[in-house]
Formats: sequence, C-alpha cells, structure tokens
Amino acid sequence: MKRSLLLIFALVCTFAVKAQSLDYLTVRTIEGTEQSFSLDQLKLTFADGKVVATSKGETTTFDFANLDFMFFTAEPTAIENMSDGGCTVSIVGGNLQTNAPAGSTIHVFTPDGKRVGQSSLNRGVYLVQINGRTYKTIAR
Amino acid sequence: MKKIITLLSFAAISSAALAQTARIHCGAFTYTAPVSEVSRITTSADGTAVTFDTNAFSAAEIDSVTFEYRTYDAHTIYVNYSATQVDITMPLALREQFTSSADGAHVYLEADPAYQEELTYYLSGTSQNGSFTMEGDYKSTVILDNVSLTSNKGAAFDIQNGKRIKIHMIEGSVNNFSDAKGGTHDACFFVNGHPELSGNGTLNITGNTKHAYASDEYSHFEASFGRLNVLGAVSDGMHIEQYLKTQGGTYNIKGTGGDGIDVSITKDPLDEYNGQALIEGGHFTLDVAAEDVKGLKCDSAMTISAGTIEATVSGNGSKGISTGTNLLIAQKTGVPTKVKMVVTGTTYMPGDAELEAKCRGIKVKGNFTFDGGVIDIVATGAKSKEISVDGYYYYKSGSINCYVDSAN
Repeated sequence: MKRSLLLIFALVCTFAVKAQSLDYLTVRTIEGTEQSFSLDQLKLTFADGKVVATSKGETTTFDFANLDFMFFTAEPTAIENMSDGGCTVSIVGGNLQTNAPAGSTIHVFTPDGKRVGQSSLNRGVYLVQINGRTYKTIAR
Repeated sequence: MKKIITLLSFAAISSAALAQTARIHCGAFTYTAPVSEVSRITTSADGTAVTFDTNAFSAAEIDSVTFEYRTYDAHTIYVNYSATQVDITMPLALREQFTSSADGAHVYLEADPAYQEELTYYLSGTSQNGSFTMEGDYKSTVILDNVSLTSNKGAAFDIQNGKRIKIHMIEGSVNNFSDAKGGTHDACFFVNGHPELSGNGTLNITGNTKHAYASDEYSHFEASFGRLNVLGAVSDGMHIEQYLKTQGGTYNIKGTGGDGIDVSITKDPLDEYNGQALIEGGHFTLDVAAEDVKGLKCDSAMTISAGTIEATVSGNGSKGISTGTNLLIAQKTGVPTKVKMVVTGTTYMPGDAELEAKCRGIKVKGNFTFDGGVIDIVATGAKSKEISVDGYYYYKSGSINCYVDSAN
C-alpha cells in the first residue's frame, strides 16, 4: 500500500512537471503589447529587418525596430492568441490605438475591473475589450 | 490497480523525457537549445542581429527557427550525410566552442582546446563526395550508424584529435569509407590518437592513396567488435603505431600493395607494448598476394593467445606472420588458438644480394614459443618454408603439423 502511494505521488509530481512545459513563444513589442504563438508548427524567419512568424499557414510580421524581446511561456500570455487574426492594440502617449474595424465596441478596463476611458491613460497595465475579445496592453 | 499504476508510470516517464527544443537552422548547421534554457530572444533595431541569450547571430545567417518536441543530448553532435550535402545538428551551447565548416559534404569540426568535456559525434548517411574531419584536445566518441563516405579529396575519416577515441558501430550497421587517389594523407580511415573500437557492425575500408586504416597510437579492438574488411590498399591494410590489441572481431584483409597489418615501434621508448601485436581474440583472414610483404607484421614481439589467423601467402618473398623479436602462440583455457596457412609463393628477386627474400609462413627474428593451440601450415612454393626462426624454438604444448627451422 505504502509502495503504491509513493508511486502515485511520483506520478503526480511527474505530470506536474510536464504541465510546466513551455509551449508558447511570446513576442513583446516596445509598446508593451504581447502576442503568443503555439510552438507547434511555428517557424520564424528573419529578413529585411522583420521577424516573420508562420504558424499553421498564418503569418504575422514584426519590425525589428518595434520588437522588445521574445520569450517562452507555458501559456499564451495575451488572453487571445494573435495568430487567429485578432486586432493590434497599443497605448501611445496615453491614448488607445487599435486597428479594430470602425463601429467596433471597445471598452478599456484596469486589471481590477474598473472601466476607464480611451485617452489620458496613466502608466500601467490595461485590458482592452474589442467586440467581446480581450487584449492586454501596457501604457508606458 | 497494479496494472493501472504501471501504465501511468510508463506514460509519465515517456512524457517527462521530452521537451520543446528550438532549432536554429543556419545552412548545413542546426543549433538546438531547450526552450527552457533560453530566457529571451532579442533583435537589433537595425535588423542585422538576432541573439538567443548570449548567442549572437547575424540575421542573414539564420534560415529559420523551428521547434520540435524532442530532447537532444547536450554533448552529442549529429552529422548526417546526404549525397553532396550534410546536416550537422549541434547544441547551441557548443557553438562558441567550435571552429566548424561544411564544404558540401566535407565536414570539419574542431573543438576549442580549452573545452575539456567528452563529446560524441554521431555519423550517419551517405555521400559520394564527403568526409569527416575532427580535431580536439579531449577524449571523444564517434558512433558509426550506417555511414558511407567516399572522399574525392583527402581522407574519408580523419580524426586529428590525439586523445582516446572510442569508435562504436551500431549493431548491424554497415559503414563504408573510401578515399581519394593521389593524395598526401596517410590513410583513408585515420586516427591520430588511440582508437578503441567496438560494436557489432561492419567497417569496410579502401585505401586509394596509401593505407586503408591507420592509427598514430595503439589500436584496441574490443571483444564486441564486429567486422573489419579492408577491400584494398595501395600500401598497408592496417598501419598501427605502438601496439595492436584484438579481443574479438573478424578481419578480412586483401588487395594490399603493402602489409596486411603492420604494427610499428614508436620513437618513445616509454610507450607500453611498443611495436607489439597482442592477439587475444578475433578471426583474421589475410590474402598476402603482393610480393615481399607480410600478412601480420610487428616490429617487436607478438603474442597470439586466442583467435584464428588464416593466411594465403602467394606473393613471392612474402610472409604470413613476421615478428621483429619473439613470438608466443598459446591457448587460454577453453579459447581455441589456431594458425592456418597455405604458402605457395617462391623467392622474391632471387640472386639479388640486397633484395632477395624467401617466402615463409611464419618468420621470427627472435625466439618462438609454442604453448597450446593448433598450427597448420603447408608451404609448397619453391624454397619456401613453413616456419623460420632466427633464435630458439621452445615447444611446450599444442598441435603442429610442420617443421620449425630454428637455431636449436
């Protein structure tokens, strides 16, 4: 019985370690936005001052000049994975900037859930909800 | 309950053994790094550089970065040949420790002398125009896994590393090496250090410039060694400095312009077993067809304590076995020792005061002691002899069917 319990404990630990596997590449821009890509079938190429991330046929391009750095995570750090065609979101000079289509429903929240405006945003982390989908961004 | 736990254990162990690995593709080279060991990837604002932690690349040299759910050993470099190209997979952590190049399928890997950890080089694939050259200052291992290299420039397998080199053949593998004609290299398959060979595979070597196989220090063929076939050589089939030790294996040597196996004494008098051949196992088949050469030769003493040596000595003036000093043929308990020869050659350059050489089955320049085993030599060539001993012949035990011409 003791042996079985020890074995079960070891199995739980092993699965726990496996659960921490870093399966995403997260790209952080200098504006503070983050986009995550699953490592499954991900390919990066570097040319003409750009990083091109190709994942399952879809392509996302970043300018070297706009990149802060890339790092690996266990989970996608943005609530949405940008590889499925989401919007770009950033806060520049305290003002929200996005390529969301005209007429989109846009709300900005602080991390504690308080809704705020789209301008005069102080430094900090904000959650931007566009047409029901949420993005995380940073005002610097 | 027990079965469920066993199944879960197996699944857990299998999944825990793998990890996501980044693969940085740069021409013939792919550098691997577990993603868990890469804290960040940065790019230069001007678009010219990409850095993985402290490993900097020019953006232009990276073809792509891909990811694989696989764990790579941190001390193994994979070299896989394919026609005129090669894929070299190396841990990213080793990149700065190496001077490396791939000219088509001609590979050069030089580890920094300051790097003092054992590395394994895993060779596979086929190239009709390729080679493998390795240099370093620490003992290493080379694994041969169905690798076939024909070199059109220099040696096919060239280990410049002067340390202990383990060469292991994967079970059942067939590995072929052939070099270029008219080169300046010593051998098709060359080891500067001391090779220790193992593994039940087959090694086929052809030496088109000089020797087929050569080592600048002792060669040790372990009991697990499979098969070595010398298909031809301009000079010796095997040319070994210091000593040869065999504990198993099968050796077929033919088509040599020089000796089948030549063990030479080194210049350092402190080298152990200097100039000796120590046959403790193995089956040798030697076709001694060239003139005035030897099937198995050593500059110093030879000890045959197990195994079989069969030689066909047809070259005029040639010898099946030739020793610089003493010869001992004995049999360890339960392990048969057999020496069988057919000697049909005659005299080489008869009448020439300098060059005349008589044909012999065994030629011993020192003393010959026979203590167990079977000696079966038939010499029919004109003026040939089965066994010729410059010193004394001591018989203690064993079966012998021929005359021993000695001083006593």
